[in-house]
Amino acid sequence: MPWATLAAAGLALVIHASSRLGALLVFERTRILQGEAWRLWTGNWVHFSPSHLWWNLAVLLPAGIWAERLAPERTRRFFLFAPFIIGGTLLLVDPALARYGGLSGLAAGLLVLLALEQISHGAPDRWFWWAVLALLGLKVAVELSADRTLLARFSDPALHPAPLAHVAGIFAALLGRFRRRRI
Amino acid sequence: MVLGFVTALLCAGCAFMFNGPRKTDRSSSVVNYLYPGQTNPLPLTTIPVLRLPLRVGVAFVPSGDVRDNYSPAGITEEQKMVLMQRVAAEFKGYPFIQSIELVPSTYLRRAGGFDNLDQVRGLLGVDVIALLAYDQVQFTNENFFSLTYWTIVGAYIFQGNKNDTHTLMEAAVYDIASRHLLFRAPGSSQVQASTAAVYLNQNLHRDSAKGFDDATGELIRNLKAQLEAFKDRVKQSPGEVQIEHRPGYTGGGTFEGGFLAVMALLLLVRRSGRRS
Repeated sequence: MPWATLAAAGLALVIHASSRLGALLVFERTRILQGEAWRLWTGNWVHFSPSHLWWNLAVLLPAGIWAERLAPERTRRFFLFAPFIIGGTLLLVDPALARYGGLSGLAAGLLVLLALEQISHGAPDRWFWWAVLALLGLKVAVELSADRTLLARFSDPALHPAPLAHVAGIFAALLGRFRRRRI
Repeated sequence: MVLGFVTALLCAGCAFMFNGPRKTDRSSSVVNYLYPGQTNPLPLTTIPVLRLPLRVGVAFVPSGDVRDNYSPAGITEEQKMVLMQRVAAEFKGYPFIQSIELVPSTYLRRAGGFDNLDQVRGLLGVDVIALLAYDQVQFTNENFFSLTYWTIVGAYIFQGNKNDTHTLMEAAVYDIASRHLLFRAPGSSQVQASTAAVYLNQNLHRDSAKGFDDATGELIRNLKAQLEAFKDRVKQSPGEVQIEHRPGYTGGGTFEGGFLAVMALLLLVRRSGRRS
């Protein structure tokens, strides 16, 4: 039962339903530096519009359910630790970022985790998983270099893409695999 | 002789009470403030550049003269601050707004124009300003109960005056650097009340304040709707307004339809490959 993925999706829906919760949990640089460290983790679950939430869930749910069925412990550890890695990366590496929200960092990490699991298990359609990794890599590369989104558009022009979140999510997925191999 | 004196006194008193219908008008105008003396302002050529998050100013444009000798001029500075705080509170939570400054009326001079706004920009560091203007007209008429005012006591008890207060407010949001009007929104209200003669001025003040309050509520609703419409316009016509992001921006990650469409295509190819 992929309870971790379903719980993550449920949490995002609950937080989105309450603007007070959103304000309390969103990644906000000044508040984190004032001691509200929980926002490093919870900020990933806050979304700025319904479309922002639904599109991220559209990737996170299938990728997370599939990954959790294939590698349950690794996926659940990912949900526990990756948000801190994403939040911490944004805090340390992007000082201009004042507020952040969205599950896309976790979704990107889950896609990588799932693709690597399928490839390492010797799946017959490995070309598909390599194509997924290539597409994700291209998206991140374009976002980092051109400072705009690839194959995505915010409904709110005031929102700026934060590609570092995707990089951090992918890094968290790779870290889990590298740690397992070392052990 | 005594009777004549008393009659004259009563007539003078009644003349004071029974003034007939009267009208009070207090107003201000964004156009007169920004384009004083200009009938055909030059068309703008620069594209507005909005650097998000925005630093916004809210200000009432200086008002015109009140055309009535019985009421004090316009809306007080305290009332203006309260109304501006209401407007600011509604928009402070938006992620693309860094700060909202309430600009005191003393910072804006009558017919100051864009040069005055440039001074405000330099002083307060605001990029965009919401200029608030108003037009409030108050009518007061006497009804049948005003006949009781002859008894003197009736002027305290019977509501022989009918007051009608019409308020129209407007918010025009300008990008100061490019002098472009980004969007605007109206708000209006009507307050009708009856009052006894003795409490006329007091109730006119109260109706005036309520009129501004109600009009501000509608103005805020319309301003939110116009803001959403402006955001849609920016998305659909990106050449009209240029968006840049400065330190302190709000960021997010998203996948959206394009990525999912490509993923769906890959899945389709994968499935058809498995079947064959």
